[in-house]
Amino acid sequence: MHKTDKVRLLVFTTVFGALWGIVEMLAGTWLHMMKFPFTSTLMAAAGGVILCVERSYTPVRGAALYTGLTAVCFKLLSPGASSIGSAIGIAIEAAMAEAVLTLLGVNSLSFFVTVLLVSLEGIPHFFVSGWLLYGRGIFDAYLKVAKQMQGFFGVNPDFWKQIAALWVGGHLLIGALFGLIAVRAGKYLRKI
Amino acid sequence: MRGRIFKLALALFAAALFIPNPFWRAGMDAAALAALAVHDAGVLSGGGSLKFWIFPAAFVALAPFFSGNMDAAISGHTYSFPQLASGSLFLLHAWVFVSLCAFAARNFTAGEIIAAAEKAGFSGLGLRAALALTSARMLRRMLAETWFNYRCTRPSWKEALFEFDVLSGAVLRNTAAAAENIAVLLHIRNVKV
Repeated sequence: MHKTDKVRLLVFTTVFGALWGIVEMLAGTWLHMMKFPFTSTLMAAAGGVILCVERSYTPVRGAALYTGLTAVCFKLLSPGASSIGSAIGIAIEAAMAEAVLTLLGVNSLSFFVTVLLVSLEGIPHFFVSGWLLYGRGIFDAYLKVAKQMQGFFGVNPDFWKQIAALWVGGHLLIGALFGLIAVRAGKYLRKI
Repeated sequence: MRGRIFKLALALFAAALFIPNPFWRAGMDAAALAALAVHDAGVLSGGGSLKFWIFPAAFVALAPFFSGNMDAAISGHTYSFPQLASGSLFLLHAWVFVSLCAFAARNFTAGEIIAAAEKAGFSGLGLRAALALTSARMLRRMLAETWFNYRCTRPSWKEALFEFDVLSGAVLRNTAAAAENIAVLLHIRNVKV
Protein backbone atom coordinates (compact mmCIF):
# COMPACT_ATOMS: atom_id res chain seq x y z
CA MET A 1 0.00 0.00 0.00
CA HIS A 2 1.26 3.48 -0.90
CA LYS A 3 2.17 5.79 2.00
CA THR A 4 -0.60 8.25 1.08
CA ASP A 5 -3.16 5.45 1.18
CA LYS A 6 -1.81 4.29 4.56
CA VAL A 7 -2.26 7.80 5.98
CA ARG A 8 -5.76 8.05 4.51
CA LEU A 9 -6.71 4.64 5.94
CA LEU A 10 -5.46 5.59 9.41
CA VAL A 11 -7.05 9.04 9.42
CA PHE A 12 -10.43 8.23 7.84
CA THR A 13 -11.04 5.12 9.92
CA THR A 14 -10.06 6.98 13.10
CA VAL A 15 -12.11 10.12 12.39
CA PHE A 16 -15.20 8.16 11.32
CA GLY A 17 -14.73 5.85 14.33
CA ALA A 18 -14.59 8.93 16.55
CA LEU A 19 -17.79 10.20 14.91
CA TRP A 20 -19.50 6.87 15.63
CA GLY A 21 -18.26 6.97 19.23
CA ILE A 22 -19.55 10.52 19.72
CA VAL A 23 -22.93 9.68 18.17
CA GLU A 24 -23.16 6.65 20.50
CA MET A 25 -22.18 8.77 23.49
CA LEU A 26 -24.55 11.67 22.74
CA ALA A 27 -27.56 10.28 20.86
CA GLY A 28 -27.28 6.77 22.35
CA THR A 29 -27.16 8.02 25.92
CA TRP A 30 -30.02 10.46 25.29
CA LEU A 31 -32.24 7.82 23.64
CA HIS A 32 -31.49 5.32 26.43
CA MET A 33 -32.40 7.93 29.04
CA MET A 34 -35.66 8.69 27.21
CA LYS A 35 -36.38 4.91 27.17
CA PHE A 36 -36.93 5.26 23.41
CA PRO A 37 -37.98 1.93 21.82
CA PHE A 38 -35.45 0.16 19.57
CA THR A 39 -32.64 2.48 20.74
CA SER A 40 -29.90 -0.10 20.19
CA THR A 41 -31.24 -0.86 16.69
CA LEU A 42 -31.27 2.84 15.81
CA MET A 43 -27.70 3.21 17.04
CA ALA A 44 -26.62 0.04 15.20
CA ALA A 45 -28.20 1.30 11.97
CA ALA A 46 -26.54 4.72 12.39
CA GLY A 47 -23.24 2.91 12.91
CA GLY A 48 -23.89 0.93 9.74
CA VAL A 49 -24.36 4.16 7.74
CA ILE A 50 -21.08 5.55 9.12
CA LEU A 51 -19.22 2.31 8.27
CA CYS A 52 -20.57 2.28 4.71
CA VAL A 53 -19.70 5.93 4.01
CA GLU A 54 -16.24 5.50 5.53
CA ARG A 55 -15.62 2.46 3.31
CA SER A 56 -16.45 4.52 0.21
CA TYR A 57 -13.48 6.80 1.08
CA THR A 58 -11.03 3.99 1.90
CA PRO A 59 -12.10 0.88 -0.03
CA VAL A 60 -9.57 -1.33 1.75
CA ARG A 61 -10.15 -4.65 3.50
CA GLY A 62 -10.26 -4.17 7.30
CA ALA A 63 -11.32 -0.50 7.19
CA ALA A 64 -14.66 -1.23 8.90
CA LEU A 65 -12.84 -3.15 11.65
CA TYR A 66 -10.45 -0.24 12.29
CA THR A 67 -13.39 2.17 12.42
CA GLY A 68 -15.16 -0.14 14.89
CA LEU A 69 -12.00 -0.39 17.01
CA THR A 70 -11.91 3.40 17.43
CA ALA A 71 -15.63 3.50 18.31
CA VAL A 72 -15.12 0.70 20.87
CA CYS A 73 -12.31 2.70 22.52
CA PHE A 74 -14.69 5.66 22.73
CA LYS A 75 -17.48 3.60 24.22
CA LEU A 76 -15.14 2.18 26.85
CA LEU A 77 -14.37 5.72 28.03
CA SER A 78 -17.82 5.80 29.64
CA PRO A 79 -17.62 3.60 32.76
CA GLY A 80 -20.05 0.82 33.74
CA ALA A 81 -20.94 -2.66 32.54
CA SER A 82 -23.59 -1.39 30.12
CA SER A 83 -20.93 0.35 28.05
CA ILE A 84 -19.03 -2.95 27.82
CA GLY A 85 -22.17 -4.51 26.34
CA SER A 86 -22.37 -1.68 23.81
CA ALA A 87 -18.67 -2.06 23.03
CA ILE A 88 -19.24 -5.76 22.26
CA GLY A 89 -22.17 -4.69 20.07
CA ILE A 90 -20.04 -2.19 18.13
CA ALA A 91 -17.36 -4.84 17.56
CA ILE A 92 -19.96 -7.29 16.22
CA GLU A 93 -21.49 -4.60 13.95
CA ALA A 94 -18.06 -3.72 12.58
CA ALA A 95 -17.31 -7.40 11.89
CA MET A 96 -20.67 -7.88 10.12
CA ALA A 97 -20.19 -4.72 8.01
CA GLU A 98 -16.63 -5.77 7.15
CA ALA A 99 -17.84 -9.17 5.95
CA VAL A 100 -20.61 -7.73 3.73
CA LEU A 101 -18.54 -4.85 2.32
CA THR A 102 -15.62 -7.17 1.55
CA LEU A 103 -17.96 -9.66 -0.12
CA LEU A 104 -20.13 -7.25 -2.14
CA GLY A 105 -17.74 -4.31 -2.63
CA VAL A 106 -18.65 -0.62 -2.39
CA ASN A 107 -21.98 0.04 -4.12
CA SER A 108 -25.57 0.99 -3.34
CA LEU A 109 -26.67 -2.64 -2.90
CA SER A 110 -23.87 -3.45 -0.44
CA PHE A 111 -24.67 -0.27 1.55
CA PHE A 112 -28.32 -1.25 1.85
CA VAL A 113 -27.55 -4.88 2.75
CA THR A 114 -24.88 -3.84 5.27
CA VAL A 115 -27.17 -1.47 7.17
CA LEU A 116 -30.04 -3.97 7.03
CA LEU A 117 -27.88 -6.75 8.48
CA VAL A 118 -26.17 -4.52 11.02
CA SER A 119 -29.59 -3.48 12.35
CA LEU A 120 -30.13 -7.16 13.23
CA GLU A 121 -26.94 -7.08 15.31
CA GLY A 122 -29.04 -7.83 18.41
CA ILE A 123 -29.18 -11.52 17.43
CA PRO A 124 -25.42 -12.28 17.41
CA HIS A 125 -24.99 -9.77 20.26
CA PHE A 126 -27.40 -11.74 22.46
CA PHE A 127 -25.50 -14.99 21.86
CA VAL A 128 -21.96 -13.58 22.08
CA SER A 129 -22.52 -11.42 25.18
CA GLY A 130 -24.63 -14.12 26.88
CA TRP A 131 -21.88 -16.69 26.34
CA LEU A 132 -19.08 -14.33 27.42
CA LEU A 133 -20.91 -13.03 30.47
CA TYR A 134 -22.59 -16.16 31.84
CA GLY A 135 -20.52 -18.92 30.26
CA ARG A 136 -21.51 -22.30 28.81
CA GLY A 137 -25.01 -23.64 29.18
CA ILE A 138 -26.85 -20.34 29.65
CA PHE A 139 -28.90 -20.79 26.47
CA ASP A 140 -29.93 -24.36 27.48
CA ALA A 141 -31.11 -22.90 30.78
CA TYR A 142 -33.08 -20.16 28.99
CA LEU A 143 -34.72 -22.71 26.67
CA LYS A 144 -35.63 -25.10 29.50
CA VAL A 145 -37.20 -22.33 31.58
CA ALA A 146 -39.03 -20.87 28.56
CA LYS A 147 -40.49 -24.29 27.68
CA GLN A 148 -41.59 -24.95 31.26
CA MET A 149 -43.11 -21.48 31.55
CA GLN A 150 -45.01 -21.96 28.29
CA GLY A 151 -46.57 -25.10 29.76
CA PHE A 152 -47.14 -23.47 33.16
CA PHE A 153 -48.98 -20.43 31.77
CA GLY A 154 -50.67 -22.42 28.97
CA VAL A 155 -49.16 -20.25 26.22
CA ASN A 156 -49.37 -21.41 22.59
CA PRO A 157 -46.05 -23.18 21.71
CA ASP A 158 -45.78 -21.01 18.56
CA PHE A 159 -46.19 -17.77 20.52
CA TRP A 160 -42.43 -17.17 20.52
CA LYS A 161 -42.47 -17.21 16.70
CA GLN A 162 -44.93 -14.30 16.66
CA ILE A 163 -42.80 -12.37 19.14
CA ALA A 164 -39.65 -13.11 17.11
CA ALA A 165 -41.37 -12.04 13.87
CA LEU A 166 -42.45 -8.74 15.47
CA TRP A 167 -38.93 -8.16 16.81
CA VAL A 168 -37.22 -8.97 13.50
CA GLY A 169 -39.82 -6.92 11.56
CA GLY A 170 -39.22 -3.82 13.69
CA HIS A 171 -35.46 -4.18 13.29
CA LEU A 172 -35.70 -4.71 9.53
CA LEU A 173 -37.93 -1.65 9.12
CA ILE A 174 -35.37 0.56 10.91
CA GLY A 175 -32.56 -1.13 8.97
CA ALA A 176 -34.32 -0.50 5.65
CA LEU A 177 -34.90 3.20 6.47
CA PHE A 178 -31.27 3.73 7.46
CA GLY A 179 -30.17 1.60 4.50
CA LEU A 180 -31.89 4.07 2.17
CA ILE A 181 -30.16 6.93 4.00
CA ALA A 182 -26.81 5.17 3.47
CA VAL A 183 -27.54 4.70 -0.25
CA ARG A 184 -28.59 8.35 -0.67
CA ALA A 185 -25.64 9.64 1.37
CA GLY A 186 -23.25 7.45 -0.63
CA LYS A 187 -24.58 8.79 -3.94
CA TYR A 188 -24.52 12.38 -2.69
CA LEU A 189 -20.95 12.12 -1.37
CA ARG A 190 -19.72 10.50 -4.59
CA LYS A 191 -21.11 13.47 -6.55
CA ILE A 192 -19.29 16.20 -4.57
CA MET B 1 3.06 -8.21 38.62
CA ARG B 2 -0.44 -6.80 37.97
CA GLY B 3 0.02 -7.56 34.27
CA ARG B 4 0.80 -11.20 35.03
CA ILE B 5 -2.13 -11.48 37.46
CA PHE B 6 -4.47 -10.00 34.86
CA LYS B 7 -3.20 -12.37 32.16
CA LEU B 8 -3.59 -15.38 34.49
CA ALA B 9 -7.14 -14.38 35.46
CA LEU B 10 -8.00 -13.73 31.81
CA ALA B 11 -6.65 -17.16 30.80
CA LEU B 12 -8.68 -18.87 33.56
CA PHE B 13 -11.80 -16.93 32.51
CA ALA B 14 -11.28 -17.92 28.85
CA ALA B 15 -10.70 -21.58 29.77
CA ALA B 16 -13.92 -21.60 31.82
CA LEU B 17 -15.83 -20.58 28.68
CA PHE B 18 -14.91 -23.84 26.94
CA ILE B 19 -14.72 -26.47 29.70
CA PRO B 20 -17.91 -28.58 29.92
CA ASN B 21 -17.39 -29.96 33.45
CA PRO B 22 -19.21 -27.60 35.89
CA PHE B 23 -16.86 -28.34 38.80
CA TRP B 24 -13.77 -27.46 36.78
CA ARG B 25 -15.57 -24.37 35.48
CA ALA B 26 -16.44 -23.22 38.99
CA GLY B 27 -12.86 -23.92 40.12
CA MET B 28 -11.38 -21.85 37.29
CA ASP B 29 -13.72 -18.94 37.87
CA ALA B 30 -13.01 -19.03 41.61
CA ALA B 31 -9.26 -19.19 40.93
CA ALA B 32 -9.56 -16.17 38.61
CA LEU B 33 -11.36 -14.19 41.31
CA ALA B 34 -8.77 -15.23 43.91
CA ALA B 35 -5.93 -14.15 41.61
CA LEU B 36 -7.50 -10.72 41.08
CA ALA B 37 -8.23 -10.33 44.80
CA VAL B 38 -4.58 -11.02 45.69
CA HIS B 39 -3.55 -7.76 44.03
CA ASP B 40 -6.71 -5.64 44.43
CA ALA B 41 -9.51 -7.03 46.60
CA GLY B 42 -11.63 -3.95 45.84
CA VAL B 43 -12.37 -5.18 42.32
CA LEU B 44 -14.57 -7.95 43.72
CA SER B 45 -17.15 -5.37 44.78
CA GLY B 46 -16.36 -2.82 42.11
CA GLY B 47 -18.16 -4.17 39.05
CA GLY B 48 -21.70 -3.84 37.78
CA SER B 49 -24.63 -1.79 39.06
CA LEU B 50 -27.69 -3.14 40.87
CA LYS B 51 -29.59 -2.95 37.57
CA PHE B 52 -26.91 -5.11 35.96
CA TRP B 53 -27.26 -7.88 38.57
CA ILE B 54 -30.99 -7.87 39.26
CA PHE B 55 -32.18 -9.73 36.13
CA PRO B 56 -29.63 -12.57 36.23
CA ALA B 57 -30.06 -12.95 40.00
CA ALA B 58 -33.85 -13.14 39.63
CA PHE B 59 -33.47 -15.65 36.76
CA VAL B 60 -31.14 -17.88 38.80
CA ALA B 61 -33.38 -17.73 41.88
CA LEU B 62 -36.68 -18.32 40.01
CA ALA B 63 -35.58 -20.82 37.31
CA PRO B 64 -35.53 -23.76 39.83
CA PHE B 65 -39.32 -23.36 40.20
CA PHE B 66 -39.69 -24.28 36.54
CA SER B 67 -36.85 -26.64 35.59
CA GLY B 68 -34.40 -29.19 36.99
CA ASN B 69 -34.83 -32.16 39.35
CA MET B 70 -37.37 -31.02 41.91
CA ASP B 71 -35.90 -32.09 45.24
CA ALA B 72 -37.42 -29.57 47.64
CA ALA B 73 -40.49 -27.44 48.25
CA ILE B 74 -40.73 -23.71 49.01
CA SER B 75 -44.11 -22.34 50.15
CA GLY B 76 -45.84 -25.36 48.67
CA HIS B 77 -44.08 -25.06 45.28
CA THR B 78 -41.54 -27.62 44.09
CA TYR B 79 -37.99 -26.31 43.82
CA SER B 80 -34.76 -27.66 42.32
CA PHE B 81 -31.60 -27.00 44.31
CA PRO B 82 -29.35 -28.66 41.66
CA GLN B 83 -30.77 -26.12 39.18
CA LEU B 84 -30.01 -23.30 41.63
CA ALA B 85 -26.42 -24.56 41.97
CA SER B 86 -26.01 -24.74 38.19
CA GLY B 87 -27.52 -21.25 37.82
CA SER B 88 -25.16 -19.86 40.45
CA LEU B 89 -22.30 -20.83 38.13
CA PHE B 90 -23.60 -18.29 35.60
CA LEU B 91 -23.51 -15.58 38.26
CA LEU B 92 -19.99 -16.62 39.30
CA HIS B 93 -18.83 -16.33 35.69
CA ALA B 94 -20.47 -12.91 35.33
CA TRP B 95 -18.73 -11.84 38.55
CA VAL B 96 -15.36 -12.80 37.05
CA PHE B 97 -16.21 -10.85 33.88
CA VAL B 98 -17.08 -7.60 35.69
CA SER B 99 -14.14 -8.04 38.10
CA LEU B 100 -11.74 -8.39 35.16
CA CYS B 101 -13.14 -5.17 33.68
CA ALA B 102 -12.90 -3.40 37.05
CA PHE B 103 -9.32 -4.67 37.51
CA ALA B 104 -8.27 -3.32 34.11
CA ALA B 105 -9.95 0.03 34.79
CA ARG B 106 -8.45 0.43 38.28
CA ASN B 107 -4.95 -0.86 37.72
CA PHE B 108 -3.89 0.17 34.23
CA THR B 109 -3.62 3.59 32.66
CA ALA B 110 -4.81 4.26 29.12
CA GLY B 111 -1.14 4.61 28.08
CA GLU B 112 -0.27 1.17 29.48
CA ILE B 113 -3.24 -0.44 27.72
CA ILE B 114 -2.25 1.19 24.42
CA ALA B 115 1.38 0.07 24.85
CA ALA B 116 0.25 -3.51 25.59
CA ALA B 117 -2.08 -3.50 22.57
CA GLU B 118 0.72 -2.23 20.34
CA LYS B 119 2.95 -5.04 21.62
CA ALA B 120 0.17 -7.51 20.84
CA GLY B 121 0.16 -6.42 17.18
CA PHE B 122 -2.21 -3.42 17.04
CA SER B 123 0.45 -1.14 15.61
CA GLY B 124 -0.26 2.58 15.39
CA LEU B 125 -2.80 2.41 18.20
CA GLY B 126 -1.09 5.24 20.10
CA LEU B 127 -1.25 7.54 17.08
CA ARG B 128 -4.83 6.42 16.47
CA ALA B 129 -5.83 7.21 20.08
CA ALA B 130 -4.23 10.65 19.96
CA LEU B 131 -5.86 11.35 16.61
CA ALA B 132 -9.24 10.15 17.86
CA LEU B 133 -9.10 12.48 20.87
CA THR B 134 -8.07 15.46 18.73
CA SER B 135 -10.65 14.80 16.04
CA ALA B 136 -13.36 14.19 18.67
CA ARG B 137 -13.10 17.81 19.82
CA MET B 138 -13.38 19.01 16.22
CA LEU B 139 -16.28 16.66 15.50
CA ARG B 140 -18.23 17.69 18.59
CA ARG B 141 -18.02 21.33 17.56
CA MET B 142 -18.96 20.41 14.00
CA LEU B 143 -21.93 18.30 15.17
CA ALA B 144 -23.21 21.11 17.41
CA GLU B 145 -22.91 23.65 14.60
CA THR B 146 -24.55 21.38 11.99
CA TRP B 147 -27.39 20.52 14.37
CA PHE B 148 -27.90 24.23 15.20
CA ASN B 149 -28.09 25.21 11.51
CA TYR B 150 -30.33 22.25 10.71
CA ARG B 151 -32.79 23.13 13.48
CA CYS B 152 -32.73 26.85 12.58
CA THR B 153 -33.89 26.05 9.06
CA ARG B 154 -36.33 23.33 10.24
CA PRO B 155 -37.97 24.60 13.42
CA SER B 156 -40.70 21.93 13.62
CA TRP B 157 -39.77 18.44 14.85
CA LYS B 158 -41.82 16.86 12.04
CA GLU B 159 -39.76 18.63 9.38
CA ALA B 160 -36.52 17.84 11.21
CA LEU B 161 -37.42 14.15 11.38
CA PHE B 162 -38.54 13.79 7.76
CA GLU B 163 -35.41 15.47 6.39
CA PHE B 164 -33.08 13.46 8.58
CA ASP B 165 -31.15 12.24 5.53
CA VAL B 166 -30.09 15.86 4.84
CA LEU B 167 -28.62 16.09 8.36
CA SER B 168 -26.89 12.71 7.92
CA GLY B 169 -25.41 13.78 4.59
CA ALA B 170 -24.16 17.08 6.02
CA VAL B 171 -22.58 15.40 9.07
CA LEU B 172 -20.89 12.73 6.96
CA ARG B 173 -19.64 15.28 4.41
CA ASN B 174 -18.22 17.51 7.17
CA THR B 175 -16.57 14.51 8.85
CA ALA B 176 -15.00 13.47 5.55
CA ALA B 177 -13.76 17.05 5.01
CA ALA B 178 -12.19 17.08 8.49
CA ALA B 179 -10.53 13.70 7.82
CA GLU B 180 -9.24 14.92 4.45
CA ASN B 181 -7.67 17.99 6.11
CA ILE B 182 -5.97 15.88 8.80
CA ALA B 183 -4.70 13.39 6.19
CA VAL B 184 -3.17 16.21 4.13
CA LEU B 185 -1.58 17.68 7.26
CA LEU B 186 -0.04 14.32 8.28
CA HIS B 187 1.18 13.80 4.71
CA ILE B 188 2.79 17.27 4.53
CA ARG B 189 4.43 16.76 7.93
CA ASN B 190 5.67 13.34 6.75
CA VAL B 191 4.28 11.53 9.79
CA LYS B 192 5.22 7.83 9.72
CA VAL B 193 2.31 5.40 10.08
